[in-house]
Order: sequence, then structure tokens, then C-alpha cells
Amino acid sequence: MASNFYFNNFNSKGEQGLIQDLIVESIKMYGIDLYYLPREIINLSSEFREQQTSQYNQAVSTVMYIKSVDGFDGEGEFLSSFGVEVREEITFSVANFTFNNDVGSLIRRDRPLESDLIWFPLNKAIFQIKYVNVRPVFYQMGALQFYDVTCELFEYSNEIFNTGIAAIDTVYNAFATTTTPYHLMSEEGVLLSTEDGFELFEEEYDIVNQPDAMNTTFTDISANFIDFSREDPFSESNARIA
Amino acid sequence: MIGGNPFYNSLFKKYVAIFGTLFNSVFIEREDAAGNIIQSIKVPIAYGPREKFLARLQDNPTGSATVSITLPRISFEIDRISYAPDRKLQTLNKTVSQKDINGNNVYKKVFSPAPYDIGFKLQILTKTMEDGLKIVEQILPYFTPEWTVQVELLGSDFNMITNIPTVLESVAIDDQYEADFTQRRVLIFVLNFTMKANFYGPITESKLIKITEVKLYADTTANSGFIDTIIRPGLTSDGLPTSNAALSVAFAQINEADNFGFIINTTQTYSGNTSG
Repeated sequence: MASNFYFNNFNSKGEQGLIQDLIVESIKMYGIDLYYLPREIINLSSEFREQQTSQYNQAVSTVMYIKSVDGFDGEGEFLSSFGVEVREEITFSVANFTFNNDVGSLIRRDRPLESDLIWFPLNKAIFQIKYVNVRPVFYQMGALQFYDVTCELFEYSNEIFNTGIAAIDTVYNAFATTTTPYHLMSEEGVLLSTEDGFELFEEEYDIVNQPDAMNTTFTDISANFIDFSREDPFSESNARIA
Repeated sequence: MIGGNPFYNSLFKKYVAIFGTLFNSVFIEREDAAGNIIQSIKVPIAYGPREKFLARLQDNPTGSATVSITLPRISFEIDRISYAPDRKLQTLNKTVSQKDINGNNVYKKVFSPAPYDIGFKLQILTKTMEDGLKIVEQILPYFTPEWTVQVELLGSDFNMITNIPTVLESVAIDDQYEADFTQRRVLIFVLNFTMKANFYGPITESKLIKITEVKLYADTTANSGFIDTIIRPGLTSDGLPTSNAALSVAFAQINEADNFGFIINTTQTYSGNTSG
């Protein structure tokens, strides 16, 4: 038996458009402006099927509704053996039309993608998209009008930020533990390295941007009682000379 | 009985620092698709257990963190202490310092250490498997299965270098990737080590022995007499060595570094009679 023709509007483009306009308008009224940062994978490891390095070179402004109105979800803040971890989650709703109009028209994104980032202006923190629910409401009037985007606070692993937004680039590149700023270079800008190809960097290089790192602490303490006269087993001082 | 004379040689702190030093200069390199190195990253290391309020005040002082955690990082902690009977030494052997610690012929001494194995659990947290493997692959070749460092455990006074082997017992990979997409992947490499440590008791002080006396008995079951030999340093007031007791200054004025001679005085006793 077929559905009632007079009440079934699932194929009505006009009704679908009306609901879409209402959703877009609602999110514009009650939503928040934020930045969407698409991920660019520099190197993909084929063996382990994971990205080795990523960078974020764009920040596109768009509007999303904060669905987690009671605050951040997730496990919150706790102490692990690796230090303080903050596992906060947040869910945004973004209209399909808005996303396509704001983001999709500028970058190659048909929908919000997992692993892309969202800069949340209220606490000036970046959240990484973990999961995008493309059917948060199941075919209202026969169409899908918005996405639910579940995000968690960003787990930083020396990703490169070059978005042009100082509030993002300056804050997040400061977490890097790379030796790049300490590399020794020639006047022509060529990186100096040893005969074995190891890069040379300034002696005062240290992890200064992570207060709980104890690399230098151990060196300073043990310098008083460890005998370094014997080199490590792979140094040239242990090589047998014929 | 224990605790009458409190002592603390800071050995646990030293063992923790030794272990931390083994892994405090680990770098990993990342490449682009063409194989060019684009990042060289030093891996932070820290001793895991810490006071909670200090952790919060240090790591998230504003209470509004902008990152969940920064990776990669290494953490370690002591998880086991057990006696090592196979390394037991003669208890009454003493180690004596090589230096006159206050210029008055006073030396430090300590009895043989007690051997204990300290278990260390080293954990490596990375965002990707390849980052973790880059770190582990730099660690494994050094442990065959031990890596020995030379340490002055009791300071430079004793001039004593002790070998401290650290044995790699096991490597485990905890990769929690099987979950729904809202769950984060947690990737931890767990390496268990055993450090073959020694623990010394209290360090005491004693003065330099300047006089020795030896009595030799031909027969200890009968009163048959003995030979008594006393040896002491001899030094004239001019700082010259002498074996003549009449020319020597008092032995209390003779120091280890002086150019002294030996005054040997032997007496024989025969059933109560004495002859020099």
C-alpha cells in the first residue's frame, strides 16, 4: 500500500529548502564564529597506514552551533604517568549549506572531515574532529540539513601550523620540540651537518617550552657521578683499528 | 635497632637520574614524501609519579589547556625492588675513602653494599606507530640485554667506580585502536628494565691507623711466651724519616703525606721473662 499522497512531502524540494533555511538561520543566530583548519598530510606511511607529518596551512571562518551546551564532555582533566592530560570533547552542529558555502567553496571538502581541526574562540583552543555524524536527524522532509561534528581537544605531536592567524600559529608552534630554531646554518642558509650527516645545532638547545620535561635535569644531576669516560658502545672510540 | 644513626646516601635519586640519563637525548626525525628530513624532534622525558597539585600548577596553570597533551614523550617510574642474592658480597668488607677528608688523618669507610634489583617501567607515548618505533629502535641495540654505565655512587672521596648494568627485560606494545570513532587511539610502548643496584649503609669516619702491634705465640695452649712487635711511623723534627724512636716526634704529629720511616720495636717474652 502506498503512502498518502496528500501528506507525504518527502520529495518536496520546497519543503526541504524551507527547513534548510530555518536551520541555517537558527545556527547563524545561536551559533558561534570559529575557524575550520583542513589537514594536509605531508607524508603517509604505507606500512602502518598513518600520517607521519601533517600541517595546517589554512583557516577558514565559518559558523557552528555548540551542541554540548552543558560544557565539555569527555574524561576531563587527569594526571597520568605522562603528566596532565585534558580530554575534553565538544560537539558542533553545522548546516550542510553553510559548510559548503563557507568551507567547501574554498577548499576541497565535501563535508567536515575527521582529523581536520576547529579553533574554538571561547577558550582559544583547537579541537580535532573525531567523528562526523552525517545523519544527526534522519532525513527530515527527505533531506539531510546538517552535520553533528564530535571533536576532542587537540593532541599535539609537532604538527606544523602556518594558517596566517597569529592566535593559532604562534600558540601552537610554540609547543614544538623540534630542533629547527637551533640549527646551525652557513651564511647562505645551508644547514650544517657532521661527516655522518647528523645536523648540527646550538649547544644550548633544550626543551624549554615543556615545563615538565626533565631531560636537562637528569643530565645536570648525573654529571656529578656518572663516568662518561667510556663512550657509548656505538661511538667511534670503540671501533677496532686494524 | 634501625634508625639509631639516620643516614641517606641519595642512592635511589642517583639511580633514577642514571636511568633518566640513558634516555634523555632521544631524537626522532620526520621526512616528507620525497625522503627529505623536515623535522628533528627531541623527545621529552620525565619521571612519571609526581605530586598532583604541582602537576596541575605546572602543566595547566590557567585551568584552560589549549592542547590535550604534547607528543611524543617518555615517562618512567620505579615499579619493583627485590633482593639479588646472586650478587651478595662478603658483608664485613670495607671500602675506605682515598682522601684525608679534613686534613687530620680522618677517613670515610663503609661496609659492603647490599645488592638489590630495581625494576624500571619505561613508557613511550606517541601519536603514531612509526614515531614509537623510531624511538624503540634507537633503544634496543644498546641493550644486549644489558647496558652498563660507570658511576661514582658514593662521591669522589671514595675514588670508587661502580659498574651499574641495566637489563632490558621486555618490550610490549599497547595499541588501543579498536573502538568507535569517538574514542581516541592510545599508543604506548612499555619497556621493562632491571637495574642491578647496590645499597650502602651508613658512611662512618675513622682515623688513620698509625701503630700496629702483633703478638706471635709459639704455642697458645701453654704459657710459653710470645714475640711482641710494635710498628709506628718515625719522623724527625726536620721532616726526615727515621727509625730511631728517640729522634722522632710524637706519632700524633705525623701525617699520611709526610716522608716518615718506620720504628720497629720487638720484645720477646719467655714464660714471664722479658728481653728486648
